[in-house]
Amino acid sequence: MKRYTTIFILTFLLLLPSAILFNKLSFSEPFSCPQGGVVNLKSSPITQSFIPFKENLTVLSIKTATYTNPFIIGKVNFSITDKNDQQVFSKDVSMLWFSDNGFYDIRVPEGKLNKGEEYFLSISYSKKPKESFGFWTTKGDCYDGNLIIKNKSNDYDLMMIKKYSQKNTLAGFNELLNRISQYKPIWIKGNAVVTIIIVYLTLCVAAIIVFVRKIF
Amino acid sequence: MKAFLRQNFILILLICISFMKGVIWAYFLPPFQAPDEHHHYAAVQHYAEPKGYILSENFSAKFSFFDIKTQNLSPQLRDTLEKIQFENTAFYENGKNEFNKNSSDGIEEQGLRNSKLNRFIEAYPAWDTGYSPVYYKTASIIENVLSDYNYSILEKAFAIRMISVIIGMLFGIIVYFFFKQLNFTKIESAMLAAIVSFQPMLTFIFSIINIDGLLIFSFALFLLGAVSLLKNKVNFSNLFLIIFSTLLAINTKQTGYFLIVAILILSILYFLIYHAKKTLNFYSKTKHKFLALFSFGTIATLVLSSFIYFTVEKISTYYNLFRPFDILKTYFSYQFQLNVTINRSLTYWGNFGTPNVPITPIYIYIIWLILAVAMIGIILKLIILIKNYFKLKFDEKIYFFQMLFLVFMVIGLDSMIHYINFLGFNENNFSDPNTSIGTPGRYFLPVIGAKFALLTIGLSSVFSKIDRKKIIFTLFVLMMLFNFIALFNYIIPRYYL
Repeated sequence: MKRYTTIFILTFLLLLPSAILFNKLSFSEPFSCPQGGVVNLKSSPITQSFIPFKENLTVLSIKTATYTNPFIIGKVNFSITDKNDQQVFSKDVSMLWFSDNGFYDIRVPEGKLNKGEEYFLSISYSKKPKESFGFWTTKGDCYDGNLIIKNKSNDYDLMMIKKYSQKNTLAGFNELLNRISQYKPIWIKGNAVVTIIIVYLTLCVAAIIVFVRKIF
Repeated sequence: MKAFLRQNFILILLICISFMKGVIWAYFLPPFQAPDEHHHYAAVQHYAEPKGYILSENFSAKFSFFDIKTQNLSPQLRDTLEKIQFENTAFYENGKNEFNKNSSDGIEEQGLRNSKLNRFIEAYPAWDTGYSPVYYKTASIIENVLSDYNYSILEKAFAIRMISVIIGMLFGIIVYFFFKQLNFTKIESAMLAAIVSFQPMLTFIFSIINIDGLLIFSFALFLLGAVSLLKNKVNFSNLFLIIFSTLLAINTKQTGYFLIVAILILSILYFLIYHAKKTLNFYSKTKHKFLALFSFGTIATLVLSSFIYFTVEKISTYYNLFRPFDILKTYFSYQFQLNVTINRSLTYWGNFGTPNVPITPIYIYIIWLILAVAMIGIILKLIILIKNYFKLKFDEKIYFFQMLFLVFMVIGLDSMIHYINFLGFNENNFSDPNTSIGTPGRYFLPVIGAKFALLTIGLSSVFSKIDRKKIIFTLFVLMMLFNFIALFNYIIPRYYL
């Protein structure tokens, strides 16, 4: 019984990364902005305007800079308002989720952001940390939008990638499969990829079972 | 046949897993999104040229690493790189490509497949790395065969990546036998071979067009031959392994020359195990003592003075004033900065792409913790073995010398890479992972088998009350999980989401 419990737990643990991937799939629009510098978040908020170019914009992926600090104790508020200054989204996030030079995904519920309309992402501290913290920017004005710091407009934008969801999980899965298959050998496209992944994961689980049975 | 399969079931299972893992990584990594992969492919196409393919024009563009128009690539390769939006993801660390909607073919994929552009360069000099003819010649056979069947560059590049996958499979088998020579049991050796095989950067290297895979394989062969030599005395098979692997390594990359030094150290250790008594008897007579001292003194002086002269001469070409200790201090204080150390560790454990797809540094901190505990264990183990040396049984003495050799291989190769990097710096752009030869993690992968052997010995010394099999199994699960995280949570999102 103990063996089977161990096998079950380990299998679940190993399948977790793929489960995290398939949970809430969202797809980026093309992005080719070179990276600029870092704007530090201080007492006054940073505001970046943006325009979704299609429906179902559900992720704003922004690049954070923690200056090699792995654990910053603090909270940041992300709020989105429309052009009439009506708030459509707000969330407080613990800064423990931010990594140095990594992207943080601000997840917005579906239906909140409409295609073609201008929105404003405002970032401020809910609980200011002792350490320095900031966001990466683009080199130059890169996409439709304006970065405002202390009421001043800047000629660069936040390093922010917009991502869109599909209608449902299956549609998302198919979109991912299509993207992965592009510019790949003709022998392995579409469902053949799924088959290979299933075989691979099965063999890995088989190895776990064999080792658990021999060791425990 | 049935008996063979039953006895070697685990090894066969791991070989299958290694192959599937390689195929998946080779598939999921977009074409040419690996360090210098398009340059290696250019070298393959050069080796594939028919005899007598000589052109009179000279390629004269001023080379820039970040502009493929300045690189002497075939029209077919250059066109492919433009169509697959190579620069956007290779040179822009945040770049996201445009995808074709509702199709498994890329926007320009049909154009690429129908292209009749020349697959050979049209002006010399070619992009020729100047070494590793074994790898490039083998790859060029695939290039020519698939071109004859009218397959596109996408199929050819993938098929050539499969060479690295197969080398990776063979590497796994060699490493399994290597661990068995270190007195790990069959099951422990299988798990350890799997741990090494699942190391994400190693998986990455064994799924791209790059000669480092062949170098790592040759070092694995050498390590197997070396530990076997120390354990079983010299015989035809271990001598063959050592000589063959050294020649293969030297043929593949200059790093291979390190194995010549390793052979010297191996010989000394071999003498100490099997001929120490005779040697000691020989030198116990007075005149032989002086002869021994004189020989040793001369050799030591020659080696040390050559080293000092070479180093000082190199440094003095960059600095007007002779300040070797200041430079050493500056070099080490630079290399030990936290962000530089993290970057270097990332390139060893998880920074994929060109490299511009790093894992989160938090994993590095966890790994450092495990390594620190293991290092304490290794030091403790070595101290105990040295302290009780004269009480050790003969097999335990062999084990001790095997450990010493592995320690030498790890410290020796790491020191050599750092030393060459240190000599190649310039005062305007001091040594970092991006200057000189830099210190990218894959340069340290050739001794990964030795590192994991020592890591396991260290951890089982610290946690001596826990069954070693369970410690190794825990490492196996963690490494497999780490590999899955690298693929599903970093590589796929980076290129496709």
